[in-house]
Amino acid sequence: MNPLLKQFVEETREFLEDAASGLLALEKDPTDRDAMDRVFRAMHSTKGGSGLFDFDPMTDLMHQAENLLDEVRQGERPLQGALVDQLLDVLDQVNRWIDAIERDEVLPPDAAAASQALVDKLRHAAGDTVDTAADADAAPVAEPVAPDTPTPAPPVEDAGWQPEWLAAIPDAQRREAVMAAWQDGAELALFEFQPESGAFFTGGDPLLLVRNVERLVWLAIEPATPWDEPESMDAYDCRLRFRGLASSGADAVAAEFAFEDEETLRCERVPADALVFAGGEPGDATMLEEFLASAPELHAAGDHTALRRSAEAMATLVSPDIREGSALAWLVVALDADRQDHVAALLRELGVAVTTPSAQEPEPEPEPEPDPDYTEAAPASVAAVGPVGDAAPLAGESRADVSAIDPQAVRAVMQEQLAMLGAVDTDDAAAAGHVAAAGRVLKRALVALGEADDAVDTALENAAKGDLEPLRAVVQGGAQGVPATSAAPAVETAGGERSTKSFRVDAESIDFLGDLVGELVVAKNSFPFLAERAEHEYGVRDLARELKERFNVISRIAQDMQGAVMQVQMLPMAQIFQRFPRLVRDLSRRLDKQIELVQEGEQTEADKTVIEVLGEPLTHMVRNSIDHGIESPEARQAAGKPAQGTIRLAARQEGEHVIVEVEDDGGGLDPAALRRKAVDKELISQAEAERLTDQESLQLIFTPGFSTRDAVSDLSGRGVGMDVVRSTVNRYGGSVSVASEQGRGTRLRLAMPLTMAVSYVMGVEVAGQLFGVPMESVVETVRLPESAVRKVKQEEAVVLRDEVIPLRRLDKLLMLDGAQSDRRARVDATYDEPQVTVLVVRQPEGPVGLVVDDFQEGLDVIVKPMEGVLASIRAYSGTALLGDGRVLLVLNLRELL
Amino acid sequence: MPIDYRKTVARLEGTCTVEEAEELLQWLQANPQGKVNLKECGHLHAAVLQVLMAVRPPLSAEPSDPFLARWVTPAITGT
Repeated sequence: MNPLLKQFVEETREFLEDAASGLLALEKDPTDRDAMDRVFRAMHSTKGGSGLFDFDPMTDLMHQAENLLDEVRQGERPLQGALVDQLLDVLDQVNRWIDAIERDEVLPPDAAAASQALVDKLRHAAGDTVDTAADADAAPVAEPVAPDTPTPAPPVEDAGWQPEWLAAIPDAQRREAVMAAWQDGAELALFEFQPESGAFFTGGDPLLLVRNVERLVWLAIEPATPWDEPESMDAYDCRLRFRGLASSGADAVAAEFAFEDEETLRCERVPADALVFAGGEPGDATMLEEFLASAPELHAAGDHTALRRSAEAMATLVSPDIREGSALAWLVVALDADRQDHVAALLRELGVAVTTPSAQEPEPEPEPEPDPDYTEAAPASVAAVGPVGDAAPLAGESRADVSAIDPQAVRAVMQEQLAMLGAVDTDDAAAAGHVAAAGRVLKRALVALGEADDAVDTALENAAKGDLEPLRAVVQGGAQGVPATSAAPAVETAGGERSTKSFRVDAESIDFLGDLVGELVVAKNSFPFLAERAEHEYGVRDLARELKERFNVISRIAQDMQGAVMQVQMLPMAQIFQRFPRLVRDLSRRLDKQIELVQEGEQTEADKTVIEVLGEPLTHMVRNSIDHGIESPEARQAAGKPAQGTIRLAARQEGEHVIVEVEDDGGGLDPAALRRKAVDKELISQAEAERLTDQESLQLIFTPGFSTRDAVSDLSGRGVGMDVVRSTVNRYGGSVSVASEQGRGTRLRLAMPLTMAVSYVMGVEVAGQLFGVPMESVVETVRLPESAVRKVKQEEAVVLRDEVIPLRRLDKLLMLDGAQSDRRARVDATYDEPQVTVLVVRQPEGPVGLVVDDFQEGLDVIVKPMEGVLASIRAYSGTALLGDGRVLLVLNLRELL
Repeated sequence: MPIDYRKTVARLEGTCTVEEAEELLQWLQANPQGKVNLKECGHLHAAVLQVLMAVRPPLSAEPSDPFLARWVTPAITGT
């Protein structure tokens, strides 16, 4: 797979997880800004990535989801469960596509249809009819569109930056900027630049930086702190502060100050609407009377041409320095741009009683307020359509008449991509990907506009090398600066989270490294054999001793290496825990249960393999708790419990083990019912059942073929029972136990070894073969005379320190012919009578003695699970390679006994 | 020679760099009545500007450079 696509797949998976967890957090607490930002960023990045590979259905879908989410973010739409459901469906769908992409490198053939179906559902959820949003695919801003008011204004999104010194900008400059914004679609940016006091020593010229800002509309140079007396002044102590307004866009302005940080520079987009207010003090308004008399009528009639003529004429009579003059000048500007909201507000400012306007005004009027600060009164829904140069009435011109591809919107997309590019750190390993991704989007956008030519390709090549200028020139070629709608989150995505301290490594390479270290450990184990041969076969004692010394050195290094590789392979439990909020949410909704999931110790680390192994069993256990454990809200309330049940998922480290508990406060297990069921299913006899204690009865749930539910639900009862959980966990050296109190809840406890990389095993010899027994289960090793073995019916046992220990003959258990063992003969030869060599091992039912032929030394081995056809042989937990090249089979005692 | 110090007038010419700031400050300190001519000044370093803003000498001629005339002169004259 091409590395770019591979990266896209990996990244997108992470984004999707991020988005899903964020959504769940949001559902719990809709005011969680952090979660909202996370979801937004993740969705945005996914969309951006998909745009690169022509995965159009995916781009469209993410786009729609993002829009919907944006409305939620703006507070225009509540985040309900149904909406979250739908957004999660979207994420699921994208996840499936990503799987398909990883497999086939293309989207499945039904992707477009699936995308369309989900998009329609989303739109339905959004309350939009499909018609009004028909061209939303081409426009990045699909806010509810007022169909009759095409306006040339940029989409109103956030409030931008509105510092109090906005008022210090003179009327004329504000008007100049607003006209640039409304008529040419320019993006306005405010900046405040205060170089640090030592700035002059670094050789830069702050004034030159400011001077280079393009399309500067206004600039104020002031001392940040009062000047000292000329006599005591330090010429090189920089005290200057620059404040300015430019119509070249925040990104372009910020680009001039490339080496300044947020300490010294603040530069942000400012909505044009924030600049529309009349300045100056109220003055003599008597001259306005004539205007005031005619204006209401003209306005109500929608005769804007006459209104404008009247206002313009009046403006020449009234000084622009007083508030009324300023308002008149603004009125002309607003009329030119056909900004009815501002027209109405300015008229009110002048004292014109604005009546309910003509059909021109689909929006409800802003609240009549004498307050001149009506900048916020701009309606939130403004369409992103092309500039309308003509102020003639546009009533009746429907949105459908606007061309399907909206150049302005496309340019906004391009600007956004440029902003992303600008934020990419070229040293970043992922930079090439970002540049290429943004580049492709840009190119497609230009093709859509019919502006693609060779210059684009050249510019893209330059961009890949870090020179963005040619690309910027191409993008800005048509429209003079266009609002970069949501550049901020993109910048964060591209620049904020990438840390150069860590980097992505393919899990396979780590596995390979682990294997190599394992082989090294095994290889080093051959030194003692070599030393022994040197001493005994060749009789060179000195060489043997030296070999052993060298062995110790290599052994130490190998151990350190092993530790380091293990550390790399450690993963936090959060890796598996993160799937549960979703699982609990979905299942509880489906079962109409109210369940809260509490997670603890997500940061507990364990070996990658352990984490991977734990996933399945834990999922099953949690499903069990939801399905069988927690009761319905009614049943809970009847039992005097809160309607909402709680499932606690806790992980912690205990010595060399990682413990995971799944605890619920549900109905608990009924030991009597368990016994009955076991008898019914003929798993145990009636007599056996009667002998079982309540605690022992609970263990029945781990018996193969046991299920407490009569009906097999689609959740947990799918033939994979707790027996599979137990055997899976056992196979990897872990254990699972259950505790339950009827009516109070159930707790399942899972213990897994922290790491599986290296195990210490005890070597035993049976019938001439070597086997390993995990050292943690070994209690003691004893040799007893044969006569000490007592026969109890068919069973054998020995009495050891007043305790009866049942004996098992390992050769029989493994079906080996151990009758004639040289080893045993050799052992026996040193004693007066035949001996039994017993390895006492710990088992849940108590100690068991294993009769073997002889003991070997303890060995550090790397146990590899049985693979392929051997995987079904349960008697062994795995194999290990010995220093002399022999294969050691490690016994799985629990399965064996 | 970016700054031409006459008897009562300092003429700033071309691009005035950061090195000129200290010298200009000393001249202004020594000539409290001194005026500054910015007519031929193309650009002045922020440090030079700062000196002019702090001392506020009368301008015998305003800059012909549009940027300086439009945005920098008001900062020096305080209008």
